[in-house]
Amino acid sequence: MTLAPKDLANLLDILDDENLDTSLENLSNQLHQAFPKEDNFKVGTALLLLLQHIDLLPNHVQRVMAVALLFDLYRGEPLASTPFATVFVQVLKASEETTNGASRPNFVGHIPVLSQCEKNLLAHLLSYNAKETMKKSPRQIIDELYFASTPPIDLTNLQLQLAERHSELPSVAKCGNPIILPDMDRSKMAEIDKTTGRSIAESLIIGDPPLCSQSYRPEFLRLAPPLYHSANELTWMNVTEPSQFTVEYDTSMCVSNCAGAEARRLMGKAFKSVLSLQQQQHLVTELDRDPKLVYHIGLTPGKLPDLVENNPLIAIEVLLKLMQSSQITEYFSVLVNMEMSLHSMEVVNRLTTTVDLPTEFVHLYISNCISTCETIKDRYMQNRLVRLVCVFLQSLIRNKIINVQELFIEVQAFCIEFSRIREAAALFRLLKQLESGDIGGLNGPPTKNKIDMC
Amino acid sequence: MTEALESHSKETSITALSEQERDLAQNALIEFQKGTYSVCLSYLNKLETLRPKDLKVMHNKVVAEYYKSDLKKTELIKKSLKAICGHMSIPDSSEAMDDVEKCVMRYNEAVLLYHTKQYNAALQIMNRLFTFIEPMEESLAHKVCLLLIELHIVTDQPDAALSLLNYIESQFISIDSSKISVTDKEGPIKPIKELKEQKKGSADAATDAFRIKLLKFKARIYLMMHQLKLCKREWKTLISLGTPVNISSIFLKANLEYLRGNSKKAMKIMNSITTENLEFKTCGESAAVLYYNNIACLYHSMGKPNLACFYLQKALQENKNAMDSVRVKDNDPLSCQPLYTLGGNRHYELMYSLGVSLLHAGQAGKAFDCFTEAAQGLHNSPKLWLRMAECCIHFHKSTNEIDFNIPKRRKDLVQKVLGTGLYRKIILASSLSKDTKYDTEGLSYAIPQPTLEFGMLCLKNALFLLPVNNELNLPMTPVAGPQTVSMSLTPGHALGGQHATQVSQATAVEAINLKASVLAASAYVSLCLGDYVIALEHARALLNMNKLSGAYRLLGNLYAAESLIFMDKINEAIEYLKPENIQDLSTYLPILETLDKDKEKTEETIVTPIGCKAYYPTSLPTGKAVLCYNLAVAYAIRGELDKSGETLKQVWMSKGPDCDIPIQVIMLALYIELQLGHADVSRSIIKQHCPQYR
Repeated sequence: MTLAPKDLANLLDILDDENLDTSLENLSNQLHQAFPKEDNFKVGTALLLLLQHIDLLPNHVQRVMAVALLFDLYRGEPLASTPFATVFVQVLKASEETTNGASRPNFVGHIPVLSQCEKNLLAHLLSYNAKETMKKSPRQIIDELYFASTPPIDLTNLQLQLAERHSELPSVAKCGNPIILPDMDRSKMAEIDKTTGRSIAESLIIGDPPLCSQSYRPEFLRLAPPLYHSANELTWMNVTEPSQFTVEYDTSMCVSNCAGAEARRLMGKAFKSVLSLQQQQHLVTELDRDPKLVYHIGLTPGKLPDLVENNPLIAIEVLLKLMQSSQITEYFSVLVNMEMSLHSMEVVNRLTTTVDLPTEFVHLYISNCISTCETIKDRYMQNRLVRLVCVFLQSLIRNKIINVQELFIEVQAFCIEFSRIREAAALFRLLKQLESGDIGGLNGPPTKNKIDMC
Repeated sequence: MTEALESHSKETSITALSEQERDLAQNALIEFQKGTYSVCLSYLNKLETLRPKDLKVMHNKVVAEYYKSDLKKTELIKKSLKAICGHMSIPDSSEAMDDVEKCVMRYNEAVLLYHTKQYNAALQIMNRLFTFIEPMEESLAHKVCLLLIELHIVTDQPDAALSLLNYIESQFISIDSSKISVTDKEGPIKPIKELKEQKKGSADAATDAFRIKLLKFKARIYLMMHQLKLCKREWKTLISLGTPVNISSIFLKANLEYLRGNSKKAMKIMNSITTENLEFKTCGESAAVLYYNNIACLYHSMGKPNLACFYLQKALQENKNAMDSVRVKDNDPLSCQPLYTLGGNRHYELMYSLGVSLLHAGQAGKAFDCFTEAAQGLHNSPKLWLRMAECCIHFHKSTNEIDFNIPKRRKDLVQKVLGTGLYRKIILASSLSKDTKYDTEGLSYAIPQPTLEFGMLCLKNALFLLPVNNELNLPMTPVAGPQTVSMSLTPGHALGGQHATQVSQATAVEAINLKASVLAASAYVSLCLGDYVIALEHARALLNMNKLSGAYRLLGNLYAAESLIFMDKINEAIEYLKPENIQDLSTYLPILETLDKDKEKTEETIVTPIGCKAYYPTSLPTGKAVLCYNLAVAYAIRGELDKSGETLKQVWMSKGPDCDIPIQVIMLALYIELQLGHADVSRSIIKQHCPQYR
């Protein structure tokens, strides 16, 4: 990234004012011989730095050489695509502005301050025959151009090309400012000293990265995030008694369970056929005796419908015993979704009167009943079912197990659809009474057992 | 083959059972309970010859042999159990019966998994087992409940643990005290009170012990959930039940005081522990380890991280002693260490804590080493990875405060001065902050080193491990603790592996704070590494969070703006730099405490940031000054020097006792003057601030 000290010495040798009479072209050739092409940018940066700081290159002749060398550094390439083209444009533009009276301040960091002569040289190089100019020696240039006025020069085209290239660069890349700030102490008017200048130039140009290519860009203040804050920064440790969990001996080994075996046998039968009254009683007493037995008799939610159809009374007993079980919801959902029948309704009815069933469950069951009634094809069966449902609903309403308001629309539509059936009409009347606030109907005779009528 | 065995055994267990067999079984049980395992085994062997295919006999034989080996031949019993009962069957109602018969075996399997820290596998078994809780014999049922709750606690699911606990309380504790109806909205609080009165009547020792254990669990869960008032209530119940004050209840009480911010009181309580001692060899946990660890917690919360480190190192040493006391040289612990000591190693947790303390003490390098070691055991913890990344960040930039110390930093405005007289050159700083780019050295970033590159890897892990459902709408009025059980159908409805229907406030807040930290750190590190697209992504994700504390909102805006500037989208960046974008500078969301539901308000836990050094910037005006300064930077980069200068002037003017401004402000002022060509002004600014270069 940087010129080696000996390279810099080389460069400064080429720029030596003893080369006063060597043609610029010749000097440029020397330069290109001394430095390979890939060093061009470094050389250019160094030249520019020397031009920027008049104290480092105070001699007119040297400055003329530097301008010419900088211009010729990328010879053979279109000017607009060389890195230092902007410098030329800015130098000439600044001079235009000053002549136009818009006074720019004395120092703008990166733009070298050139003398009239140097500007003229640049203008010639840019607009006139550069080759002719390059053939001249620095002495000739100074003689010819020292007092000439800057020829008018049209840079529009070049400027456009440069602007186009620049627009491709992000703003962050374009906002840098060199970090070298000259601070001439004019009070101590020390004489120009070549070796001091050289050593200063060296310390500016040599380094990694060299000071002359560093820049300061407006810098975002990036705050580091705070340390994570947790409610349990350090983990408190409580006593966990790991020894309380240990391997257990199975105490149920070879413990006979005669009662259980008999109950299990009866249950197996109950899924398939109706049990005799005696058998039913036996099973119920066994279940009552051992509250845990109910879990060991082979009942699963999937088998519940069979049990309900064959032995509704046993089903009710068993379900009541399972109320505390974690599986009870599964049993309920099976019950709700099984095919509607007198037996299932009987089971649900009994359950509603003995335990608090979840309202969702009851509502779901009613909706299920209604939709079964509506979809059934067999006319005779339909009538039978509708009557059943109506009696069931009346019973629920009179026992205040359901709140009619929540199902009003559904039930009303049901009554209207089946208004031909006596029980439906009766239910409808009951609904109307309730709606009008007449609760007399509710105080009628308990209809708990009416469901047995069919 | 096992299937054939099973079906056969089912038949035999139901049908034939001779008088002789029954006697043998009874004798075996008696001997087992007496602890004379060899005699027990001789009975079991006889029984086995009579009933060669009875699974329970085989099982008990294996168990008795295990006890005979002082619970040391764990590997062996594990294999034997697997051979006897096979794997946990897939949930299928038809096999329900089978599993009821195998409850003890399943429980044992889960116990082994628990002690070998395979918590998820254990949970799977226990959740399934819990569906058969009703048919289970009571003492086993109690054990199943306790293990299931413990597993939920160790897997950090306090919400699920609590709903489970409440359900269990309602099922077991109150089972005789007249059935509580499903609709009883009082929840499990009532049964406890009822029972208290009932206690004298039914002196059921087992149930009492069970209830006390449940209460302790509940206290622990409430502590995890930061429901301190509720916890206090449980603790009081515990004491009023006449529970002896022992080491475990003392730790609970001290924990409570610790979380309430009363570290001194907690310290007193901790030091009230008398002679009682838990020895690792016999209990599976060492009182010394716990004690030193907890003392360290207290010192940390008192803002003394160095003392905390000291005690953590003591705890680590005690832990090592404890492990050495049971370890038999060069042998597999699974065949020579008692079962309950297998999971007792706290080394990695302690290492993590030590790391946190060191980090707070400013020793990021040592902290980093601790975390690297802890990562061997806690690699699934997003917190750990975040902490490692924090070490990396700390190495890169240990404090924000330094930039605001203008007297100290202003010498950095100028690098040096070269030459004298005509040749005098002032060399300005090229950058005031440490510049980082990707390390070009050929080191793999995966090697743990406190570099930003490695930090980025850690943060990727952390992001990946963040809990998924943490964006759940945070209930601002937290539901009363005891009611988190969903009671819609029956208590059982909430069961079956989905206990956590509702996430408690504490869990949600913790998850949000963690996510914010991970995202902010990710955005920061990406920015430092020059990965602006990723940085912007993280910053936006951060700002998109539902709830975000003030400091993180500020950081999200800053990081988003900076990445946008580097992506040359200055207009968009400026949107993020409006001073009204910040309201406060809190660094975390507090956990709100639930009070009794009759008092309808929530109260903020008064916990001063435990052990935290306050985050800089501390004052809101300073925060705004940072935003404003960066806005000036954005303008300057866009070339709008006048606007930038004006904004900068505002920042400068806002300087005051409660508003610090960063050194960068002066540098930017210099820049603007230089760009405008006012070299003289620039020089005088330098000479004013850097008198040494006058």
